[in-house]
Amino acid sequence: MKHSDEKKLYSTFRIAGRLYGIDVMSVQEVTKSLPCTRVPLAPKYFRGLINLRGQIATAIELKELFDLSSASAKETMSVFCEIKGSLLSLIVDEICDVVEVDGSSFEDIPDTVPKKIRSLMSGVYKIPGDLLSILEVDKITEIVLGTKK
Amino acid sequence: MNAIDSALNEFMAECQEILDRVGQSLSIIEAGKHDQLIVGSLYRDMHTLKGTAQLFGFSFIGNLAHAMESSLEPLRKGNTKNIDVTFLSALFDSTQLIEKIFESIREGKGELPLKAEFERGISNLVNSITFGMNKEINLNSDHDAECSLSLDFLKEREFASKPEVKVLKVIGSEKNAEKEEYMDTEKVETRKDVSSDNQSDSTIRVSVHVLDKLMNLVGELVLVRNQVLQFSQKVEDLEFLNLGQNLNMVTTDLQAEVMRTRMQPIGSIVGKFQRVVRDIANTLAKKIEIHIQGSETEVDKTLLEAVKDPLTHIIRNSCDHGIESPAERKKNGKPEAGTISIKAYHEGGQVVIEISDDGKGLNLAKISQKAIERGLFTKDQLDRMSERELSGIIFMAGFSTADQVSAVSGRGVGMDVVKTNIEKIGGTIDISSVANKGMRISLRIPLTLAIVPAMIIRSGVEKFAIPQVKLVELVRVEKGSEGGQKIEFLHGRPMLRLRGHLLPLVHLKESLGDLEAKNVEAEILSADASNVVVLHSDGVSFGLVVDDILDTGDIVVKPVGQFIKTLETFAGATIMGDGSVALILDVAGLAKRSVGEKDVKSESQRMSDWLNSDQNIKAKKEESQDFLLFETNAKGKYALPLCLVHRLEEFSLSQVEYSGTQKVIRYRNSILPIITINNALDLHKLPNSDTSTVPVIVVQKNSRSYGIEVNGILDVVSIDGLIDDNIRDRKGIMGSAIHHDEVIVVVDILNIIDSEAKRLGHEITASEISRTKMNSSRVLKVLLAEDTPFFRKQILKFLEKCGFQVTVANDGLEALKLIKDSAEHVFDLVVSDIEMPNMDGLTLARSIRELERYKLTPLIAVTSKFKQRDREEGERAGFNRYLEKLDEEVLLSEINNLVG
Repeated sequence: MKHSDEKKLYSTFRIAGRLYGIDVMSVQEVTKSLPCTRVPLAPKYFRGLINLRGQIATAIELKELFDLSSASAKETMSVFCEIKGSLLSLIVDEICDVVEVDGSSFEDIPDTVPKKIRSLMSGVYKIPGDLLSILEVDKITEIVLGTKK
Repeated sequence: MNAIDSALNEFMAECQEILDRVGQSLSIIEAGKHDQLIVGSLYRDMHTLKGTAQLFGFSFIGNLAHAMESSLEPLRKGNTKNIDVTFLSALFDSTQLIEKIFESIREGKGELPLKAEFERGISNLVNSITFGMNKEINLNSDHDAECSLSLDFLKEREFASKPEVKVLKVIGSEKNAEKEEYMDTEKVETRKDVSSDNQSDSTIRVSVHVLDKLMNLVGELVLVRNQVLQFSQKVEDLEFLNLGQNLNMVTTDLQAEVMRTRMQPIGSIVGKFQRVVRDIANTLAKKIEIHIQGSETEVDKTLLEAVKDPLTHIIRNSCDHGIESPAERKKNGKPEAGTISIKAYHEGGQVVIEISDDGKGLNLAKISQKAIERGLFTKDQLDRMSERELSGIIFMAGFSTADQVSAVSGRGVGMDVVKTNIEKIGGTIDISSVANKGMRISLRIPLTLAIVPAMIIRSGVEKFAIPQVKLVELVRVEKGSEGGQKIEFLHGRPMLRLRGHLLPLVHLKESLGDLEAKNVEAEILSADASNVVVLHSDGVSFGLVVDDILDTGDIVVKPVGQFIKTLETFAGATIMGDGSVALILDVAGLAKRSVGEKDVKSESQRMSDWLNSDQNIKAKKEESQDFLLFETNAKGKYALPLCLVHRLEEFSLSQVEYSGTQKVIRYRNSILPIITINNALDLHKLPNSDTSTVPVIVVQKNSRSYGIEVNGILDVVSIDGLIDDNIRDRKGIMGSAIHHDEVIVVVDILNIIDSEAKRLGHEITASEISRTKMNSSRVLKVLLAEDTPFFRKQILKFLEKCGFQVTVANDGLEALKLIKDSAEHVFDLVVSDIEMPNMDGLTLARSIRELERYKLTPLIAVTSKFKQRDREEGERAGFNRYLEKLDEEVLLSEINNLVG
């Protein structure tokens, strides 16, 4: 995938110490974790449903989705983003800065990363001192909410 | 959107309202029930339409409206009782034409494409006016001045080119001056009328989007109110408490009013159908009357819009396919005019709309024929369908029975679209039809999409909502209560005797995966009292055991991700008074999952579960089985395994015919041999048992149907799989079982059929069996995997009869274990069911094929899952053959082909 040199803005956060980012425009708001209603029978990554001022958001435990060890942080944060009409709440450990990245530092996720996880990422930016994985939010919505088809 | 566009939209919406009202007024006039008020309102509507249309430069509409307005003048001023039919129909036509022009404008094409039609329409209108006018003049000579005035107006506009009008021109021209003056005063007068009693002035148009937002905000307000109330009680400040109470009341009222803003009487769309029916009746030269009942029933605006098209379609269908031509109706002894009635009413939190006609009903034979032609079903499949299922075919995509595509209906998009649209809004559609008596379609739609009356229950610490629609009753069963009502267990499954019937219970915790099935009994027994919510959905009744029943109330259904629905347990989510999210239980899904015994565990889990407990097999062996109970001449109840029953039928005595001495009934294009159970079992006739109907149980064996005539069909019960075969007082009896302290005689129906089949010449020839024995030099070893005890026994018996050495497994896992445990290649053939617990047939086949030494062993699937897709899947999994259950003839010949 070739990306142009244009600059892009990403909201970044950490899960189990790793750095992830999503397009700043798709983030609606960030809150500390809100009361969450469990959905029985649902897969583990499906944390539950959250009432965000009258709108119901689906909470996704990214840690589970990415098969990361669940050494849980004391206080988790919620990143709310609206994708194709459905409201998602991504549960993360820590919110980081909004970073501006250059298209030239972009690369596809290397093949050594498990395919399941690779398919949830659109790529990686090499930023100073760290690697920033970019979430493919559409894909996550598709898998998690079953909106495909 | 710029100012002109929005003004144009406003104009369109208003005109649509006017046209709707005009249609209704005209219908009333046609029915002869009009008075001065109706004519007045019609006149004013035309006037407004004329004015606004011309303001926007739509001269065609303006001119048509003007012509109609003028033509109504004499009616309004004078004798309103005598209305000429031609004139009225010209008015109808013109209204329709205006709508057509509107449509064209809406599509952005403007008026021009319809110029020819417009000219034709206006001249027709003028013609009819002239015609009616002449009569009118004769009747009331003092009105002639105004009559000619109107026509003069038409002339001046040069609408008409017909000679009749030219004649009238002469009259008109004499009164030119008077006309101008008249028109002016008239305008002022009309304006006054409009402001005084025109309905549209007391309403304003608000976009639904705004209402939705309002509704959401009120929902939020309710939550805040709840929090304030809770807080006010804590603070113990009297004034604050009072304020809280006030806030409470105002909020409640506000909520109710906001909800009402979205409600509209159903009459606003149903009223239109009078014109629709009238137009179609005219086109098809039929006489159709339409009766509307309950037009004041209120429904959410969005839902109303959603049912509009389906309803129109159903009514068009009724007119076109349902109601016969007058001649045909007369021949059948019906009144010439057909009737379509629309009835709307509230029932159980839903709105029911019934559309019935007294036409010819559905032609089931034709439906079947078409279904075959379109390749939707095979003849075989259709034969097995009940009338209800057959009627249901019309809801399938691309199905239309009309031989010819008419202008009215039958264009291939049909009832399937109706069904999808109704289901999309959470409604259901039901059809019932009686040949030559008519048919009825009932639509059940929720009152509103957003608000559902529900019951809130608790399971563990979580709250769930159950829609009231599915709720039948609540039962509280207390431990050791005097009434004797208690929860009993049938093979570990909880049951409740409710008014003499056994109601299966489902523990919600088990359905939610919080409780293992084997612990359900202990859980219920340890509770002091059990709360049972009796639910009914899709013909299945069951009781849901919950921890607590909390409250009832209206809940607001919130949109959630599609994913939740795929769990088949939740229908959606809602926000509770305290701001927490609660899931809404999907009763139909629960029923399907629990009563249909679908295992939700994953394959690997199943495997480990099974390995952990060897008792599993033993438990499975004592699995209960369903039986159909029936009456015979003898005392007591008789039963046969439900899995054998193909269909239940009731024939009238007159349908029974004889072929030789064999009782037969013509049944779905073939002849069904009737075996009278009393004769087969040699039971003597009881006195006074003569009835006019013959209950028949249809059983299939070797692809042939046999009708078992019984005295009466009683019930379906679940009985312990073990049948005591020690007591067999006569041939044809398999043994007896105990159910509810009653002895039930289990009939060996296949044996009876076999001996009957021998008589009819259906038997498997002995040579076929001996061929198998001859073919193989040694005894073939067969592994049979089948979970249902009954089928297992039958297939086992048959295979042994054919001389095989059979090893039996109760499910796929057990079969696989048997294969894996044996060091070498032991079995020559594997016969397996597809649907089995622990491991199904497909997985079994795949696993067997993985073993090197069983790569080529013939695998045969015997199953009741017999669709082409299933068969292909079976073949992919590694089965050599995929056969229908209990067709011994085919099974044997396939074994011969594979092994021989």
